[in-house]
Amino acid sequence: MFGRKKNGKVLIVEDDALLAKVLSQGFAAENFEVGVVENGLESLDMAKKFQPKIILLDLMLPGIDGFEVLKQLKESEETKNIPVIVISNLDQVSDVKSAKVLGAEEYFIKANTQLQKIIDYTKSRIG
Amino acid sequence: MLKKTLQNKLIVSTLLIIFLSGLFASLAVFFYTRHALVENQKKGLLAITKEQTHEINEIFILNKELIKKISQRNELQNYLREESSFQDEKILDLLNSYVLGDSYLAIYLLNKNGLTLASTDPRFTGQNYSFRNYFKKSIVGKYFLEANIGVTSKELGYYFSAPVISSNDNRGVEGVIVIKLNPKAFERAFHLNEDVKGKLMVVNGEGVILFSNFPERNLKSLGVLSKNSQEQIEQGKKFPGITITPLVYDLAQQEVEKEKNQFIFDFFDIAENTNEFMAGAEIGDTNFYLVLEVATDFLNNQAFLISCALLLFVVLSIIFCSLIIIFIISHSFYPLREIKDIAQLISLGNFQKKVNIKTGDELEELGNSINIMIDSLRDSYGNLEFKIDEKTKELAKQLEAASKKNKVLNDTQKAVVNVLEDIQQEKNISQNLAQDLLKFQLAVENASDHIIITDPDAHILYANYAAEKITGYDRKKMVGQTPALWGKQMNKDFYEKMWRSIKTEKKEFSGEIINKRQNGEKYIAESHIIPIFKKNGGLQFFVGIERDITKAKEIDKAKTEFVSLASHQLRTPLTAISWYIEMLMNGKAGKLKKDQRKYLQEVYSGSIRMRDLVNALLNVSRLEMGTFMVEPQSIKIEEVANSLIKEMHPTVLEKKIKISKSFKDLPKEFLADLNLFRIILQNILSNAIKYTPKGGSVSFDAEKKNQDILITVSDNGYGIPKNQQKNIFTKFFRADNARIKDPNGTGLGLYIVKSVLDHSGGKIWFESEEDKGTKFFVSLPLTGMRKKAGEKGLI
Repeated sequence: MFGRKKNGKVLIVEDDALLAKVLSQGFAAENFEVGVVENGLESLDMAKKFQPKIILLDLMLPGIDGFEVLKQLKESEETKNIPVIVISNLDQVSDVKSAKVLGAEEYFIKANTQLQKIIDYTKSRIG
Repeated sequence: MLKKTLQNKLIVSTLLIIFLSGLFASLAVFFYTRHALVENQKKGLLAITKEQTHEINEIFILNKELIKKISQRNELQNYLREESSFQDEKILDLLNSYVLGDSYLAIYLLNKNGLTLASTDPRFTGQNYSFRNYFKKSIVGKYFLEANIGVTSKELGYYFSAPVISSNDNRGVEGVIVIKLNPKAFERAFHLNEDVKGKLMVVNGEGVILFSNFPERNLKSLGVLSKNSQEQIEQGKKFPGITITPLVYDLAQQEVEKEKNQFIFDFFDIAENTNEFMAGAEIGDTNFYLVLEVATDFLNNQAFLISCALLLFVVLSIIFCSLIIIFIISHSFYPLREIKDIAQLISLGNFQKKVNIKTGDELEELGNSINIMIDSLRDSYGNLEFKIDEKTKELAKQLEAASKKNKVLNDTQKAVVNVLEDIQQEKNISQNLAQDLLKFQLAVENASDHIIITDPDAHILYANYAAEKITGYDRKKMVGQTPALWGKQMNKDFYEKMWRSIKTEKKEFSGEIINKRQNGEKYIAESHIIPIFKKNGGLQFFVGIERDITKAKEIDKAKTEFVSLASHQLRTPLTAISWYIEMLMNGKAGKLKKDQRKYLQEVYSGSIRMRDLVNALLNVSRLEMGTFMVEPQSIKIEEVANSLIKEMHPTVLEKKIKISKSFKDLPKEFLADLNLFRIILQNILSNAIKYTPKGGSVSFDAEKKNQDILITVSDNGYGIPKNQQKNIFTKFFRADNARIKDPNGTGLGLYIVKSVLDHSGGKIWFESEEDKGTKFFVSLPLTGMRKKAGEKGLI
């Protein structure tokens, strides 16, 4: 099932274990090499070490929140060129705006979005 | 004695201040002037003294020159060297040639040993003067001047001495030549400056007065002689046979003995009992001094005169100022008198007269304040009278009622007496009536709602137990007051609207109202006010019924908050579920059998329905908590409508529904919250499509109508049953036929739409007939949606 990882590395930052699992399984099934972290602080280290092609970032995280993570990712030389897709249940227009201002490529409200849509977008973004 | 009025106090204290400061200034000027005069005089005196010393010095220098000249005569040197005989004629002739008139008492020549070899005064010849200071000084080569009384002549004289020095063969000093100057000649030569109005003294280095314009001072010392001076005088036999008695000027004596160049001081002359200056200066380098003594009392007189003039000026100023101040103060105090008069009138209960002060200052403000006070006093006085009137009327009414009751009783009695056969019946009727009344009274008294009755001006006539319990005020004390006692917490508009309704429009008023209990606690009440009219249509009284719904509101809020939190939490697991279903359906866990796929499809649509419900619940909670916001922006109605219709295209296609649309007279731009506007249109459009059978038609029309934008969505679908129409905007309500046609609805859509419109200044209504169709109308003012601040938007 986990054969060739031809689609490259994706880093998932998600604190809810169940969602993290379904996302990583979903992406693995699509031939991605998946890294998962559950809090904001680790995600910064992991992004540097793992050097993913794309990052899926939740916003409501323990410790430092997703907005801060996004800001720091974009400030660091090593990670600023990695595209970030926000996946969150925060549904306010203002949240979407803030995330995009900070440099997010796309913003998906989890509850209202199909998993396949996220995967397809990721593929198109890397491909 | 002056009256103790504010005016007099002010005048007196002001004058006192002027007087005291004037007095202080005069004294200061007096002392300063005196000081300045004294200092100035001192300087002048010293200058005069010094000037006089120059004149004296000139006399001395003249004689010094003369002696010098004589001492250089070769004849004298030869004579001294040869030591031939006393009184050599040639020498004597020479010496005599210098004696002019009586200027010189003697000119004489001493040899090395002090022996007088030749003298113009023959008494000196053969005498030895080696004890004299002038010999001692000149024999070592110096020119010298001193004043002595002659040992031989017994006369006072100024002795000028000079060494006679050998000019040829360096044999040094060979003798001393001496001139004895006659003091009279000195006095003649010396001219006293006429400006000096004092006592002048010429004293020697020991302080002995040699010459004074007050001759009784001659040959006395300025003060007590020092030991050193005494020795000098004795050794030099300066004043043989004379006792030098001291005057009282010890200070001057000391200054002279200390060989000061000059001195000046003021002092009190105990001998003459006056204030005086004493100035002294050395005459050239002779060690003689000129001392001047001048009385200073005239200076005090001068200073006193200046101060007197100033004081006179101060007194005049005081008189002048007093006149001005009295004028100003009386003028400005006049209004106070008026205020006093008015105050007396007020105390007598006369509120007619008003203060009329137009000074433009604080007094005018005071006058205005008093006028305001008079007004309010008059009002409250009037109110009091009015209340007394009312109470009297009330009492009269009660009395009347009592007498009426009496009358009824009498009548009844009569009836009892007269119509015995009817007695049982009458009794029953009145008993029933009384019992009815009592029932009503008990019902009102003990009702759990707060009930009050007020007169048309809102003065409370009656309040039940619950009113007391809810507001905290004693119900007996409420009588006569107005409900403002616990009210007044809402804004002005609210109360204005309320009064308009119950008084002008004569309609019952209902609404939620915030009140305040006696203990300060606020509470929310559901309020109804019912106006009760007389038969002639006039207003009789108001009945106010209020229910404390604070607790109910709190519970409601807690419920809404719970829904909000729960909904949000539900979204995460719901997402996981639907994503797993998605993966299964996409064959990520292996290919599915047909049935499996079918069942999974059911599960998936269930989860989507659950998600929609959760989203709708979140919206409802945001609407109910009041945390949602309305942020109008410029939008294009046509664009929004077209995009929504496009989104619904798959369903429309599936159901083969004909969609028509029209836009008429719409403004280019319209101010609306895009998200909310979409939610409104999306709901009514999707309802129309959902509740219309296959092949039906739906139309969307938007137009400008008067001052509004009117949007109409009509269909020829199932319609809403008549008996359920009134509930269509109720939360969770779904019409029976809708439930059958689409079991998946939440019953929240129209509720949300209506809430949004209520909050943003819009309206929604509909016309519907079962099995024929429905028309929904939404209207928003042309000016756009009303802005509302908040934290959250809807989903």
